[in-house]
Amino acid sequence: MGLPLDRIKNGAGQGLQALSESRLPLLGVAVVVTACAILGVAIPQAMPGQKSNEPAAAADNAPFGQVPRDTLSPLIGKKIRSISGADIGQVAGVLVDTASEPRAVIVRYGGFLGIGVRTVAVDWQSLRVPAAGTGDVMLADLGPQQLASAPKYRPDARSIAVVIPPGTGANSPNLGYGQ
Amino acid sequence: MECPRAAPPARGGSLRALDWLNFFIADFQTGFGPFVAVYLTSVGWSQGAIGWVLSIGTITAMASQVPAGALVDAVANKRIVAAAAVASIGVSALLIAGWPALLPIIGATALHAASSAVLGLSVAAISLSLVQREAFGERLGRNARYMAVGNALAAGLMGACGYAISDRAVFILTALFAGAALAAVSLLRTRQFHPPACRARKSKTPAPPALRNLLKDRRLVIFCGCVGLFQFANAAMLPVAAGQVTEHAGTAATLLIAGGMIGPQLVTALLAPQAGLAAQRWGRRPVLLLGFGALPVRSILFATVGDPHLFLLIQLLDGIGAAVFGVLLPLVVADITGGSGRYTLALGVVGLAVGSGATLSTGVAGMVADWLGGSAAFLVLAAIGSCAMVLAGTLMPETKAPSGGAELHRLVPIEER
Repeated sequence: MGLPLDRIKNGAGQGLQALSESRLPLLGVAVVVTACAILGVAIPQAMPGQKSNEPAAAADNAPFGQVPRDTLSPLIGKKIRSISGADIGQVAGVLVDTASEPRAVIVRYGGFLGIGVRTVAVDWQSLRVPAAGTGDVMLADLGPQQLASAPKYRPDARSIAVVIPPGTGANSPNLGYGQ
Repeated sequence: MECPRAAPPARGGSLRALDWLNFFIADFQTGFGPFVAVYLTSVGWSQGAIGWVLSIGTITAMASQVPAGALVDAVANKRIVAAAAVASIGVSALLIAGWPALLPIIGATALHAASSAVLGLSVAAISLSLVQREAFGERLGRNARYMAVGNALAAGLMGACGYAISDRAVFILTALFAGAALAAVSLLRTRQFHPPACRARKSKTPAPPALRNLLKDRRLVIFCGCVGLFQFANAAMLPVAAGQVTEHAGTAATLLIAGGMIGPQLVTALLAPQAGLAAQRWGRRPVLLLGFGALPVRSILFATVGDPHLFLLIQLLDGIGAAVFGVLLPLVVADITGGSGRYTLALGVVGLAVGSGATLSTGVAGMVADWLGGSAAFLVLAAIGSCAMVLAGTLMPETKAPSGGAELHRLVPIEER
């Protein structure tokens, strides 16, 4: 093999000696490690939902709800395909309204190796869960061309543009959009 | 010990190993970057958490530049440092693939960022010690050529892998390339590194200048400004243009973007050694200005040309800028500090400027594109790129040593203990 053991030991020894003699890289390492430690503590606090919450009703001996596993699947990260099988994108988030109803999913699509990816909001009702056993994707009542002309999803904008299924106007009562 | 008048040239084996090292480094680095966001989304991460992780990567990368520079300068055996950095990057790829929980991914991202800084600097230092000073430009051109071919190949391979197998498989492939890079490092023969400089027996070697002294060198500071501004203009251009292609080009968009990433790499592979040779023959400034000039042209073309299918052609100009930037950055810094024992520290300082420029680029261009549209963003980037060109044209001095002085400015190689 390439590197003889004693050369590795020499190199490591020199490296450690150099580190201990020169203050600058040691300071730099200390700064980086401290920053990572602070961020490692701060981030889990800032992100609820990563921890499992203790059920508040445990003291009541209330039974937990049981749902068959094969009827459930995680939504975030799931790939979306059109009814005809074309690749649409992946689910990156969900938007819910004040009536606790999901209104839209945030979809990331396009690009190559992550470059040129766009984010748009798609109406919740255009999504369909496929029949059991047909794969780990969501179906969408959309064509990929529809996403292309959609405005970019902007979380800070006062009004979010949402892609709706073709053939239904935005004023359709089912969809619940104002004018 | 008799002082050799000129250092013996390195045997072909080490130079070829260096070629392949550059190739494999480019291969495994292709998987990191924006693709990590795609992968993390597919394993269920929220966009907020992904944003945090990417920011940590950026901050760690910038914070590690100068300390990594000091570290690589301080350690005599650059091979060990390079090998450790490659191994760390391989470990971080495996962590990303196998353990996509919050803390492991943060650790992997930070590890990758710091190791990348160390790796780039040690490869530059190894390259400097393997060739004569006059041949350094050409050597850097060859490094850039192998990196460009590696980038192009890896982009195609990883894109296909992500599409056909899974996003996770891309990181396994990354780890495999890291293993290949380790093999290349092991083939570098340290015996062929230049022998220790002969020092006058009576005089003590003067202590290398500290960081503060480095920063007092006007040429270095101006060069930092030039490359920082260049990267400020350059870094966001491909992502913003690619986003526009996705928006307007329909079903061909993915292939167009792939072509727009691979095409410039092929241009760089063609041009980089010529850039190195030209920098040696005509001087650094003309080549620098040529490379910097391609950037505002590309930006204005992006701003004005409406057809997204021309994206690929316009992107070829990126190859010119990348060839010049990749070759001239380590070359000019070697001109300024080579032989003082502070080469990689200076490279680290310049790297910090480059990283700052890149971060500003994505931030500013993103904001302008959101509120004023893509064309406005490209015009802003063109203006910044023009500032880089003006700075390089007016204040940046020629750093190439006059040919008569080549012997005097001969590098002082690092002593092998």
